This record gives sequence, C-alpha cells and structure tokens, in this order.
Amino acid sequence: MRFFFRSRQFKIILLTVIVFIALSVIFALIGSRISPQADIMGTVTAPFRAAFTKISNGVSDFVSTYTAGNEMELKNAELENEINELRRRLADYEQMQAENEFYKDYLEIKDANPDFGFTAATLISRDTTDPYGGFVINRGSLDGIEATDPVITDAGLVGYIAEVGLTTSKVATVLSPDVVLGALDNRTNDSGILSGALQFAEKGQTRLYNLSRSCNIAVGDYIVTSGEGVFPAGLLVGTIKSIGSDQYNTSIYAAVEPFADLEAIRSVMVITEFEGQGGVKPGSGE
Amino acid sequence: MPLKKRHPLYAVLTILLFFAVLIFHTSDIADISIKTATPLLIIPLLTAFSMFSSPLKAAVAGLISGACIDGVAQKNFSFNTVVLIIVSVFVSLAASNLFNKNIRAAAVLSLITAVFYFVLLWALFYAFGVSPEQSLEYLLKYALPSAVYSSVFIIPFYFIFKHFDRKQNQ
Repeated sequence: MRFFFRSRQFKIILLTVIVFIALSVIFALIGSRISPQADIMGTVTAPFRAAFTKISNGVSDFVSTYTAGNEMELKNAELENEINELRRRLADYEQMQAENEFYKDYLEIKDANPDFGFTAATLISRDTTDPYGGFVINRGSLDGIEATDPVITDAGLVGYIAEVGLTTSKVATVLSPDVVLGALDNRTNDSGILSGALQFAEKGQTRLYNLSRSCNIAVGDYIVTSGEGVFPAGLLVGTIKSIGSDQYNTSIYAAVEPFADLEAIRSVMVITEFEGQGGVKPGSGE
Repeated sequence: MPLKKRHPLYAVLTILLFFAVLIFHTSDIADISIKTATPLLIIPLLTAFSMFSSPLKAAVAGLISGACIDGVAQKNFSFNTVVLIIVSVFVSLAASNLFNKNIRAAAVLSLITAVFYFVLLWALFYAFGVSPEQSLEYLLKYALPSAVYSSVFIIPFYFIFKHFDRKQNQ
C-alpha cells in the first residue's frame, strides 16, 4: 500500500479529489447552481432518465387501467370486446382531455395573473434518498429558468427551483426546511412562516409556524402565499390538517397538507416572471 | 497483481449494471424502501466493483457514479463525486491489502462505506441546518437504517463481480 501512496495513480486521484472539493466549496458559496460535472452528467443522462420515468409511469397507468378493466369485465362479460374498444378510445380521449385540462388550468391561473410567465416542465427523476421529495425537471437555464423561481401545478404550490443546470433543474418542495415563505390563512388572514420539517414531511405535510396565539385559524382552512419572499401572493399552498403549539407555548403552528400531490407529480409549471419578482431569497431555519 | 485479460463482454455488463442501478436510483420504477430506510444501491455496487478493480479504475467508477448522483441529489454540490471517489479507492486498497476478497470482507467493507457515506451526508447537510431534535431524528431514523439496508445489497453484487473476475482470470 505504501507504494500506492507514492505512485502516479495516487497523485492523479488526490488531485481529482482536491479539484472536486474546491468545486464543492465554490458552488456551496455561489449556491443555486448545479456543479459542472453533475450538470454534464445530468444533461447526458437526462434523456435516459426521462425515458425510464415515462416507462415507469406507463406501467403504473397500464396496471391501474387493467385492474379497472377486470372489474368491468366481471360485471359486463358479454360486452367485453365492446368495452375494450371503448376503453381504448376512452384512454386516448382521457389522455387528450388531461392534457387539455392541464393547460386550461394553467390558463386560468394565467388569466387571473396576467403578469405571470410560465415554462412547462416534466419531472425526469427523483432523489429517492431525499426525505422531502425533491426532484429534477427537464428545463434549465437555457429555457430561461432561474434559481428560486416558483414551481406549481394546477392544484397549488410545489416548491421552488433550488439549483439550475443548463438543461435540468432541481426542485425543492414545500416539505423541505430549505423552502421558507410567508403564508397566510385565506379565511382569517392570519399570517405565519411556512417551512418544512422532517416529522411533517413523513406525513406528506409542511408546517405554518410563528402564528400568534390569538389567531383564529381552523382545521380545513386554505393556506395561500402572502407574497413575502420569492413567491407571488395568492398561490394556493394547502389545507390545515391539525393545529398545535410550540414547545415554549409562545406561538401556534399548523400542519398543512399541500394541494399538489407531490408524490404523483409528472408535469409542473415554473413561474419565470411575475410582478415583484426578486424578493428575499429563502433561507433555512426558524 | 496478475494481469487480467481484456474481456469486453464483462466491461459492457459492468457498465450496464451501473447504468441500471443509476436509473433505478433516479426513477420511480420500484420503491424498495422499508419505512424510512431508503437504500442507495450505488454504494454496495461500487464496493463490490472496487474490491476486484485497481484503485484508478475504482476512482473513475466512483467519479462517474458520483457525478450522476450529484445530478439529481438535492443541494449536495459535488458531495457524491468526492465521497464516492474516496470510498471506491479505499475499498480497492483495503480489499487488496487488508482483507481477503470474500463475502465477509465485502459485507464489512460495504457496511463501513455505507455508514461513512450516510453519516457524512448527515454531518454536512442535515446536522446543523435544523433543530437538534430533527438532526438526531434524521440520523437515527433515516441515515443509519438506510446505511444498514444499503449494505445488504452487497450480497448479489459481490457474487456478480466475483463471477466476472473469475471469468476474466480464466
């Protein structure tokens, strides 16, 4: 082993490690940018990841269609062929309808917020070891996406762009403690800070904290963005599932379940432009 | 170290195996998590590969795998690239100088590398950004179970690479 440490091989490996450690430090200081080697590999592997995600989605769609088909066959054995034909047509129709709905829903958001600029994106991979459900989309800086751009679905807020590469971007979800935003109860206007925590993320929830003890929030209330931070005002976030008080009993927090189904997301919209863009960059911590 | 014959078939199979594991890691094909323990299959795969490879080959495999994982990992900058290079070189050296290349050594090395990876990940990205309770919860509930679960996968990978190594030395 002593010979190895004196060898040219060791010097090359050591130099490589030092270069990447230096890159780590530089990119940790700059932030919000995917490191170059990860960006290159991300760009190279993106088509494969997108293809496999599509296959995976196709398989799950097929299984659910098949299960539903079996139930129908039991009830309508004599119409089996007709049903299959109709189902095939229905699948095509539903796919088209879903696409139309997808764009129509965003069109409604766009109509309500004419200042919004959107970029449609598709999920191409997930970080399966991230407990907060972070994922990667197939749009990057070449498509005009910038760090901290809000990410939504037609159901509500998903998160924001954590890191941007040339052709891909990483999305941090509202379940993550890295995503910190001002939010308020749509009914009572009580405002607080919305940010994730591990024990809430396990249940697919985030939390709204720093609420005054005299607030009037209730389970079932809708939470929307207040416009503080990097998110535009009025974006739907989720609904209050439970209410508690902090360990020092000085303020109230609420467990909020996002409207967007973060585990089933396939397509999202990135808000690349909105009025008042460029607010305070969200940081972590309470 | 005896010179190995060049065997393109096994090189291709190795690349395909790495590719499959990386795709598995980054897509929703199948969820093999047990509660909060989510295995990172690339660690046992790299461990098994490095046991039968030279340090330079192991380092290159670590670099490419790490860069691919960094492409999808949240807020990790070049963490995976650096750690996987170190891990693969360590395993390659340890397997040829400190351990026998048997399944027990593979299990020990896999556990060491998985615990090293997850504890370092916790120390750098989860330990200080959140409250101490959350930090400890991540370590005990996510990091350590994931490390132990990841290391279990050394068994198939070890036998695959042992087979490749034997075939290449025939």
